Amino acid sequence: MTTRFIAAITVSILGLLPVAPARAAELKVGVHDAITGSMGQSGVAMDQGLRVAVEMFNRKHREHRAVLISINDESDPAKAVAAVEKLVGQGIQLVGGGFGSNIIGPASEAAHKAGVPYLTGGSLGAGLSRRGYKDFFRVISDDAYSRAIAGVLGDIGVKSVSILHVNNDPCTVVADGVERLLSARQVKVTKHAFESKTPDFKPIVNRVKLQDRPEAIVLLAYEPDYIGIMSAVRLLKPQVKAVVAAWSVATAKMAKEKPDLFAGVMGTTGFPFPVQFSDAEATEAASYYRQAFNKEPDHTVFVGYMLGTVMFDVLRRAADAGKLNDRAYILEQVRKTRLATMYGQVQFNAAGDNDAWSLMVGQHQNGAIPIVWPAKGATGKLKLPAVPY
Amino acid sequence: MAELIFQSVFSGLLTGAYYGLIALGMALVFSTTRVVNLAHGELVLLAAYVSYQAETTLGLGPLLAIPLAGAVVVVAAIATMQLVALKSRDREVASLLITFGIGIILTNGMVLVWSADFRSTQARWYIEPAPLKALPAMNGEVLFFAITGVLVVVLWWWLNRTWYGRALRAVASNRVSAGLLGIRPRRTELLAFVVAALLATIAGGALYATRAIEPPMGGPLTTKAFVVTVLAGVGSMPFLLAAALLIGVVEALTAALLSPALQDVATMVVFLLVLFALPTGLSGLAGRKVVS
Repeated sequence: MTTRFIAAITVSILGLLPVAPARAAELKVGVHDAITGSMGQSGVAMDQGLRVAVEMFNRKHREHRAVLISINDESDPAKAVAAVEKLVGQGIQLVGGGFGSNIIGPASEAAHKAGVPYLTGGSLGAGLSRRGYKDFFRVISDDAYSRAIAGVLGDIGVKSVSILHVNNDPCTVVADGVERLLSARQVKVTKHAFESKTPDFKPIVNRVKLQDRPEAIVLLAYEPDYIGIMSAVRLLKPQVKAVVAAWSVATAKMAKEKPDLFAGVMGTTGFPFPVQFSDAEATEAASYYRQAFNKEPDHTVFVGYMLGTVMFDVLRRAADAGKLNDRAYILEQVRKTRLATMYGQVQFNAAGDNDAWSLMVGQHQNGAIPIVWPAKGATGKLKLPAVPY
Repeated sequence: MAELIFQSVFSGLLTGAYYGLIALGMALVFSTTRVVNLAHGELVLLAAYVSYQAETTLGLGPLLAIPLAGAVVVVAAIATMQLVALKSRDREVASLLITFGIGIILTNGMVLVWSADFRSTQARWYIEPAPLKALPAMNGEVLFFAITGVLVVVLWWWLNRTWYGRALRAVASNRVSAGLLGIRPRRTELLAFVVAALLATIAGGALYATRAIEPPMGGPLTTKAFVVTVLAGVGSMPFLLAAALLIGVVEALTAALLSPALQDVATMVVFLLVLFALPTGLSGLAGRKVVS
């Protein structure tokens, strides 16, 4: 009798308790990042962006806990493969990261063999998407860069363009895209491929100046190359209307450290400098980044943020459905992604590329970088000639 | 076309002199000690990073930072020498592994201290156009070209006209015989490392003054210095400079007339052609095998 009474009381008390929330799930994303090695600079920025995504996710979604497991691949394809295998071995159901197609290619192949979806923001190599892997996704798109560069040059009305690009897959793909889009507008395009970190750019720029005589120059390279090329451009002063670069030029770092060298030069970007965000999430993320890393966020940081946001959102949906360990379900959720991040829309096409992503063009003007293209998102007026002399 | 060729040759000579400055240190160490210092490029880069640090914290430009950078690089070079000296047997092969490892440690150390971000001088004067009308060059390039010229003359004089210089050449010729003549080979080898470190420091200053630097740059600098050294033939300073200038001009003309992407290929073609015709390198033209 006493036992029954105690049991009845216990059941009654439990019944009166408020319904406890579903148990918080730990959402583990595994990434390999090029923290050191030849891609170290971009890899660190990407990794920092992913860490901002973790922080922002955990602030927003109290019911789950985002966890980032990051392994330094040292910009080495073999170590990237080993990192992916280790992450998969730890039971991680969603992997990615990386910087550079030569690293992401074999790493994503290892993930494919293991049957784990792989997402990246560090490759513009279209060849990776053409492999036919149904579990490989890129949150960025080479077309976004090509469209922005060709768009601003088309609107300026140039008739001839010289493209100086690094002879690797991402830069060549974007160069080909710019050429295709500009040729369709009857613009004469001449391309010059070069090795990254060429010690002297004067002969190349001189060739453009004396033989090509273009109305605009397009640069598709990396920071040290940009500095070398712009030093040569400022020295030789080719008579062009504009110099436009892809990534890593319209950045806070360049505006602060090289305002003279890049004065007037345009570059693709997702936001102006000083950073002006319209939505609260972006403002909060940028604020957290400054606090955590003591510098201004840049394009690569935000791509990392976008990648992390997508990956954790996919796992959140899987956790809510109680299928956090169901790889097929997770893959399906990646494909179904329709996410408006602060750095653009993410929606994958059949090849796993994010066609919905777009970029704007900013111009270095007196230490600031207002958006000058497209007109819809412009925060400043395009000034011509867009050259530092 | 003539203007393009003329200006490209001039650019190539400036770049070649810079290659020569890097290779000079590597060749000096190899001639004297039979050590192939695969960390030499990292020492050049270390000097560049110390210059960066001196600029940001003390406000010193790349030229004024040379004494400070020199002190750091000399210490690193002496440490390298001491580590290599621990292995007395199979020195040439062992030195490859040891210095390769030191290069990796230095690269990762630079990442830890200065991060993977690229750095470049804030001193505008170095990248401003030099007052040479038909010859496009930056002030920094012309300055360090001139410094390289002076250094070559001073080094040649030192090697040929001073006791220590002659001691160094003696050890390079025959280590055992030099010891019998009262020269301390170990001390002389250390001296070679110190002189090479000072040359690397000047090269690092030139690097920081005219280009953007980042930690992975050390390896390619070593490779370039190695190619120049082998192309010249071991032990010949004038031919070393000739080889460096040749590579600089070939690279510039390839970029200007063929394709910038073929610069390295063109260099290797010239390299192989020269070695095919002259197996001992350019120095085979004179049949000389001593540091002079």
